[in-house]
Amino acid sequence: MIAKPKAPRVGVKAPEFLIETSDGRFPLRQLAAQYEKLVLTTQDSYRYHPN
Amino acid sequence: MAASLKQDYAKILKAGADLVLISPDSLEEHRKYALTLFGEELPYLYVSDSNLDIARRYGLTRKEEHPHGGFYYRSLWILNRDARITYKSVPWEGNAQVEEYQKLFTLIDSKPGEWRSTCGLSEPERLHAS
Repeated sequence: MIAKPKAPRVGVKAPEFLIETSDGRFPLRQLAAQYEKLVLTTQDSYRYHPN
Repeated sequence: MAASLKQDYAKILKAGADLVLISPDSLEEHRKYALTLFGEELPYLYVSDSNLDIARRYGLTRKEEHPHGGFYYRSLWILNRDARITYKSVPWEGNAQVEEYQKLFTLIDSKPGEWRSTCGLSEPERLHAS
């Protein structure tokens, strides 16, 4: 049985993914290092939630 | 939410932060939405999570479908320069409650945002968008 991964807690490193920018594709950690703070926000598809 | 974030993106940058929006829509769908509703691309960074890999690793999948459809939680995360999570809100009600929306700006030491409850769209536009 494969355990469902737990949502990351405050204080831990954010799970990695790649972000496309006008300067190329960067890992999340590399982008975060460029800013005082990096804001991530998620939402469902616009087809369900157009606002 | 898109209209509010589009309008307030300059404040986020001015505070020394940046914004990444993540959703299950493809990049093409995201662009099409922006062009249809705003006539231009949205200014902030976008990541398509079409295979729900990010949703699984960030704990964003709903057990039950949202009344409007979909299984993806709206959420807010603030990371520091080490990519450590300093704040998280899952689910985040920033689209429905102005106090929740303003938390984003408080947490990055920015001036308050200008929240729009209906995305700035008129009723016909919203019907068209859905």
